[in-house]
Amino acid sequence: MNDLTLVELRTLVERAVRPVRTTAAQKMRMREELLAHLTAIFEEELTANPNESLALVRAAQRFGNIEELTEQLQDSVSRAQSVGAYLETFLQSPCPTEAFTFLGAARYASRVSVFVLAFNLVVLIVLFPWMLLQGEFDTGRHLLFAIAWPVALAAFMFGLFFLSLWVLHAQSSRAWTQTAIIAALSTLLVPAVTFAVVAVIVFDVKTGWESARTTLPLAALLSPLLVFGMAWTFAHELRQRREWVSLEVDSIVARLSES
Amino acid sequence: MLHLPVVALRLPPANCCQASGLESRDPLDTNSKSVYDYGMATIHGDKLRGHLEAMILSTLERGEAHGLEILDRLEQAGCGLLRLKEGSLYPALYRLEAAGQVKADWETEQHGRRGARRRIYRLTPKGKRQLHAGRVEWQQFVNILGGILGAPA
Repeated sequence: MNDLTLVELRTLVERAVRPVRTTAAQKMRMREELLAHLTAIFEEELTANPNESLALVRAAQRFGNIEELTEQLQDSVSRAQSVGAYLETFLQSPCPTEAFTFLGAARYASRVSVFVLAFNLVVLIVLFPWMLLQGEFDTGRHLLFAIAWPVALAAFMFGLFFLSLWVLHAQSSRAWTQTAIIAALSTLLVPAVTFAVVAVIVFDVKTGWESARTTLPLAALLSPLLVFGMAWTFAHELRQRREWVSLEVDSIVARLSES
Repeated sequence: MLHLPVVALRLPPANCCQASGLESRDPLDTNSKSVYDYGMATIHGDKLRGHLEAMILSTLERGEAHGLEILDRLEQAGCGLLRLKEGSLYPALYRLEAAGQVKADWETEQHGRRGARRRIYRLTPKGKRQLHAGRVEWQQFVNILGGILGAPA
């Protein structure tokens, strides 16, 4: 199989999968599995007749009508996947064909943190009456802590996502000094959030600093791992998606029909 | 709304699988005709509505399989007369997976060029129960229609 044929097979799969409204992960599963099948039937056809163009057309015929397949794939999307797709639309995760900008990374990290904050506040509101009955909020400080926690988590998520995208950009442009700066900054992420939360709750900067200092050794070890791990996940996902979203799908059906 | 894959099934004679030369027929060779091309009725997808999932579950009863193997089993069981638009198998598999009736895992080794992997599907206990229910339902359908049409099963 030559590279051009492989691109044609991928394009055919992408033509069916791209319009489906589901999560990015589910789309990748569909793409890979359909491509494996289409490749296999193409190879079967090629064995029967060593003409690549003919084998491609026959494989496409066996595969079925692309519009119908898209509709069927859409109908197979579960409710949870639909909700996941709407969430991804809201978050507007980074597009593989777009260049990195600090503003873009900050926007994405903000949307993630707003979602995390909203989710945790909803959970808190739902659980609040029950916790009140259990005597969980016997002091104002407890209540403050319950509210500060979602805010702290949202701030942490902002830092995590922003730094991860920055690492991704630094690594792709092989800016090692920048990477080292981000690694150093990431060690401060957890202590900074801890400091802010404790300082707000106890209204005492000194106590806040003491708490932050205790988290520093563990955070120095774990935070960079978390940030770089997240960046690696982003890189992997974007690389996979880039291969597919760059395909020109509009003319594939017409091209095969002409063949 | 549930959209069904395009399925065409031509009714085989009772001893179809023993028909000589049937297995060797090239399904894509549109110039050659099998004995079933003469006077055989065609059942289109509409008439098989709702049975594809049960048919897939039935093939998986023989053991785990990837998509192409499931199609092969369906074709063998249908004596080569069942023609699926192959891409349509996967939405049905995804529905079954979402319903917890099959479970799928990526195969460990990559298949073909550029590492396109296949997923291996297997029946779950819930799928086995659904298959049993599907068989009962089909039997009732055949009995009722057979009675109405004056051609009992």
